[in-house]
Amino acid sequence: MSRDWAELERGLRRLLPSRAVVAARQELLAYDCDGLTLHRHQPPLVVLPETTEQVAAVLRFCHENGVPFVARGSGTGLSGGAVAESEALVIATSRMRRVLEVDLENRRVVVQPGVINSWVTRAVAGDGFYYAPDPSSQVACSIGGNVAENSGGVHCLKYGVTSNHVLALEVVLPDGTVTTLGSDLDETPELDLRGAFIGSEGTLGIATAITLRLLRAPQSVAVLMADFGSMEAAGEAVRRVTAAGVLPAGMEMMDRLVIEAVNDYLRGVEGFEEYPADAAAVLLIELDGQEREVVAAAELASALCREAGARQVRQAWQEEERALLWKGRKSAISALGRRFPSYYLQDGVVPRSALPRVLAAIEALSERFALPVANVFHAGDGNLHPLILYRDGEPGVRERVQELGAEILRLCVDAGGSITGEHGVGSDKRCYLDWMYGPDDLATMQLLRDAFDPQRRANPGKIFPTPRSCAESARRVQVLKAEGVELPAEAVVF
Amino acid sequence: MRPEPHELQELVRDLHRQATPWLPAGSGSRLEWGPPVQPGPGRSAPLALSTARLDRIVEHNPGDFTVTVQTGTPLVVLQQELARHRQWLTLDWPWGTAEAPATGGGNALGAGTVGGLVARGLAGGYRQRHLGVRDQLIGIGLLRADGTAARAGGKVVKNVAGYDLMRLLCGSWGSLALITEVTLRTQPLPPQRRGLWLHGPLQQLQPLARWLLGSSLSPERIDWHRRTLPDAADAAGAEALLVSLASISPQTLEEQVACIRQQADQAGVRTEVLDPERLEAHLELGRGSSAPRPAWLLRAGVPPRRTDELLRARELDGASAVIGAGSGLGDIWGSAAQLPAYRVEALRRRCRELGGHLTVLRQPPGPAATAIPAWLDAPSRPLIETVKRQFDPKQQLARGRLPGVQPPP
Ligand SMILES: Cc1cc2nc3c(=O)[nH]c(=O)nc-3n(C[C@H](O)[C@H](O)[C@H](O)COP(=O)(O)OP(=O)(O)OC[C@H]3O[C@@H](n4cnc5c(N)ncnc54)[C@H](O)[C@@H]3O)c2cc1C
Ligand SMILES: Cc1cc2nc3c(=O)[nH]c(=O)nc-3n(C[C@H](O)[C@H](O)[C@H](O)COP(=O)(O)OP(=O)(O)OC[C@H]3O[C@@H](n4cnc5c(N)ncnc54)[C@H](O)[C@@H]3O)c2cc1C
Repeated sequence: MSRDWAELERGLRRLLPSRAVVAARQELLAYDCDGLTLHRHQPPLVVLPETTEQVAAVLRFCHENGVPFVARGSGTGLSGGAVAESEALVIATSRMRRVLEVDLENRRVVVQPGVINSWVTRAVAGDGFYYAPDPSSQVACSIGGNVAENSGGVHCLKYGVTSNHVLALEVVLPDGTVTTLGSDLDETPELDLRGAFIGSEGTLGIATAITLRLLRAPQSVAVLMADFGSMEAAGEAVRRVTAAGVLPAGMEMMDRLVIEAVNDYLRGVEGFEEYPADAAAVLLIELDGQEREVVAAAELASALCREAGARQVRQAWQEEERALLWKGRKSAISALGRRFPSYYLQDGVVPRSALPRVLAAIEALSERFALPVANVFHAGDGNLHPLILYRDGEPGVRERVQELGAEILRLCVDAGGSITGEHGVGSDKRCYLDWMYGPDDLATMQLLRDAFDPQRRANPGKIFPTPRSCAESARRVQVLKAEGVELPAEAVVF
Repeated sequence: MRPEPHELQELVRDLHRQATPWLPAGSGSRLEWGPPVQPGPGRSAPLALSTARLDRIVEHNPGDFTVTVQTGTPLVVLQQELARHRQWLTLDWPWGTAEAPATGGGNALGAGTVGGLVARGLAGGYRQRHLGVRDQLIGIGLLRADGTAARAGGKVVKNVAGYDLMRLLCGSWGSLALITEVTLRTQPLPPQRRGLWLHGPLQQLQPLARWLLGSSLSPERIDWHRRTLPDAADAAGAEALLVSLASISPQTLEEQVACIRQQADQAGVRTEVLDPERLEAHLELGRGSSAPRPAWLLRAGVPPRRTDELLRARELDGASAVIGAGSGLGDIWGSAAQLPAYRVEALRRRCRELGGHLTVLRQPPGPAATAIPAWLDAPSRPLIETVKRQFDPKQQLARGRLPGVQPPP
C-alpha cells in the first residue's frame, strides 16, 4: 500500500519541533540499515522525539492514520531489527539521551531509551557501582535497543542478561497510550508484562523510560588465560571449572583461526605476548568478587585447567595486565577483518555439553562450503559466534555465506539449542524461527502481540515467519531434511 | 481433579467447550491464598485441575546445569534429585514449609510443586545472591484455556528467540494457562555454607545491615527477622539479621565470618555463628514455623533503603516479619488479635507511601464485603486485562484472580 508521506510529514510537523522531522533523502540514508549491512531499505520518513509526550503524540498520530512504525536506537543491531523494510515511519531515540534519575541508595537509575549503555556505568562508577549487561557494542548501543533485544554481554554468565536488570519500563503502546510495566521493586503484584516486553524487538511498543538495577563494583578482578592443544581439552577445562562451583564472571574461547589472526594482528604491540603458535584453543576466564574469594577461585581454576591439559596458565590481577590478556579477544574481529575483508557474524546457542561436537560439525561445514569459519564464543553459556569469512565480489559468495549461516543455525537447533542467544531474530532469522517452534507456539506468542498491538503496526514483519518471505527457506529446510544432515557422532563430553 | 497426562488436553478442551470455569492447581497447598476465585455457577468451590500426575523429571543435564520437569513434580523431589548431582535450584522453600524438607522431615508436598512455585513467582532471601524464580526459568510448556498446547523458550541458558512467555506466565497465579513443563537453570551446591544470627537493638542493627549491603562480601542472603522466634519479646530484642554465606573454600568462609563478627562487635550487636543445621533451623523460623497457618499472611515490598522505616512502623506492632535487606521484599504474618484489619489497611498505606506495595495472601474469614482486596490495580491494568482476554477469552481460568487487577468485592 502506498501512503502519502508528504501529507504525513506535514501532520507530524504540526506535532513536533521542525528539527525532529527528517525527510531529506540525504539524511534518510543514515537510517537504511543497522549493524547487519546485508539488508538495506531507506525509510520514507524519520522522527527524532525528545520526550515521552512527543513519542506518545507520534504514536497516536500513527494510530489515527494507520501508519506502521519502527523504533530505532543506535542502529547497532545485528538482525535487521531497526530497519523499515516496508514503508514505515522510523522513530529514532537518538535525542532521548537523558539520565532521568540516579538513586544510589536503592541502587537504580532511570534513563531515557537513547542513553548509551556505557554511559550508565560511567554515571555511577565514581560511587563504586556499575550496570552489569555489557554487550561488546556498549560504547554505541542504546539501553532501549538493549531492552528490545534482551542483550547480553561477556559478563552475563554470572550476572545475567538485560532482563535480569530491568526493574520498570515506561512504554508507549502502539495506540499512543503511555503505561508503566513493573516497579522499582524486584517483585510487583501484576502480570509481568515488563518481562514479556523485554526481548520483543520493538514489536510491542516503544520504551521511553527504563529503570535499571545497579550492582556494586567488585572488590577484586582476576583474569586467567590458558592455552590448549585441542578444543576438547579446553572444553574439559570449562566443564571442570563450572562443576567445581566456581562461577566466573565470564569465560571466552577462541579457536586456532582466531589465534593465528590475532598473533599476526598484534605482533609487535607493546606488552602483547603472542599466543603459542600451535595452540588449538585459548580460554579466558574472568573472576570477580571479594579479594580472598577471587584468590581462592583463581587458584582452583588454574589447577583445574592444568588437570584438563592446559599447557600454560597465566594470571593477571592489575588492570593493565588484565587488559593485555583481553586484548586478543577484543581485537579478534578486527584481526580477522584484516585477513578477510568481509564477514558474517552468526549468533547461535547450544547446550554447553554439545559444544565440542557442534564445533566439529561447523568445521566440516566450513570445508564443504569452502568458506573459513572462525569461532570466538561465550564458552560458559554455549553461545557461539561463528564468523563466516569471505571476499565480497566473488560471484555467488553472499548466497553461499547465508546458506552456510543457516546450516550452522540448523546444527544449533538440532543440538537442542537456539537460533539466537543475544542478537535477536529481526528480519534476518525470522524464517528460521519455526525450526524451534511449531505453529501453535507461534500463535500463542502472537496472542501477546495482539494484546499490545492488535493492528500489528509496531515493527511489522519482524520476528515471525511470514508465508511470503519464508517460502524459499521452507523449501530449503525440506531439502536439508531429505539429505539427512546430522551431527557427527563423536560426542565429546564438555 | 487429577488427570493423567494423556487425558489432560482433552479434558481442558471439554471444559472450554462448556465454558466451565476452573483453576490450575499444583498440590493445593496454598491454592486459596490471595484473591478468592469465583467457583462458577452451581459450585461451592472452583473446579481445581491438579498437575499431581505430571510429576516426571523429564531431563536433568548436570553438565549443562539445566533441568526440565513436569510441573506437578514436588519441589522437594526435584531438589533431592539435583542434590544427588551436587546441584540445586537456587530458591528458598516457600513460606509455610515448616520443616526442612530436604533433610527428610516434613511431608514432601508442604513445599508445593514446581508449577505452583513458578505460577506464584515469589522468591525469598536467596534473591540477594541468586535473583528470583523468574530469573531461573528458561523454557516453558503450557496448555491454554482452549486446550492448545504451546511452548516457549528452550533448554539453553541463553536464548532470545521469540517472545518471553516464561516471564509472562511466572507470577500469573494460574490466570493465563496451565503450566505443564518448565526448564530451569541449576547451580552447583556451594561446598561450604555458614550462617550468622545477629541480634540487638534495631538502631544498632540498621547500620550493620547497611554496611553488609555496601561491603564487598557477597552473602547469599541478608534477611531481617522480626519476632520470628517462638518466645520473641514484644519490644526490644525482637529484631535480628540472618546472614548466610557460601564459598568454595572453608578458609575464606571463616574470614568472612570473622570480618562480620568484628563489625558486629563494634556495633554492639551479638553474633551467633550457625552451622548448616542451625542455619536451617533459623530459616524455618523465617518460614513461619512457630506460627503455622496464621490468620494474616502478607507479602510486602518497599524500596530497599526504606526497609528500616517499614521495620520501625507502628503498624507492624505485634506482627512477625522476614524482609530481605537488599530487596525490601518479604512476608509479614500474625494472628487476628495481633493484627486488627484496620492496621493491615494502614500497613498497606504505609508501604505505598514508602514507594512499595502490600499483597494480602491470607486474611481471617469474614464477610466478603469487608475483606481487604488482595492486591490493587496496577497502572497497566487495561493492558493486563487485554492479555487475559487473548489467552482466556471465556474467562475460565482462576476467575476473579488476575495479578494487577483489583478483585471485585
Ligand atoms: C560490534 C558489535 C558488537 C555487538 N556485541 C553484542 C554483544 O556482545 N551482545 C549483544 O547482545 N549484542 C551485541 N551486538 C548487537 C547490538 O549492539 C545489540 O542488539 C544492541 O542492543 C542494539 O542496540 P541499538 O541501540 O543499536 O538498537 P537498534 O539496532 O537501533 O535496534 C534494535 C531493535 O530494538 C528496537 N528498539 C530500539 N529502541 C527501542 C525502544 N526504545 N523501544 C522499543 N524498541 C526499540 C528496534 O526496533 C530494533 O528492533 C553487537 C553489535 C555490534 C555491531
Ligand atoms: C520464599 C518464598 C515465599 C513464598 N511465599 C508464599 C506465600 O507467602 N504465599 C503463597 O501463596 N505462595 C508463596 N510462595 C509461592 C509458593 O511456592 C507456592 O504457593 C507453592 O509452591 C504452591 O505449591 P502448590 O503446588 O501447592 O500449588 P497450589 O497451592 O496448588 O497453587 C498455588 C497457585 O499456583 C497456581 N498453579 C499451581 N500450579 C499451576 C500450574 N501448573 N499452572 C498454572 N498455575 C498453577 C494455582 O492456580 C495457585 O494460584 C513462596 C515461594 C517462595 C520461594
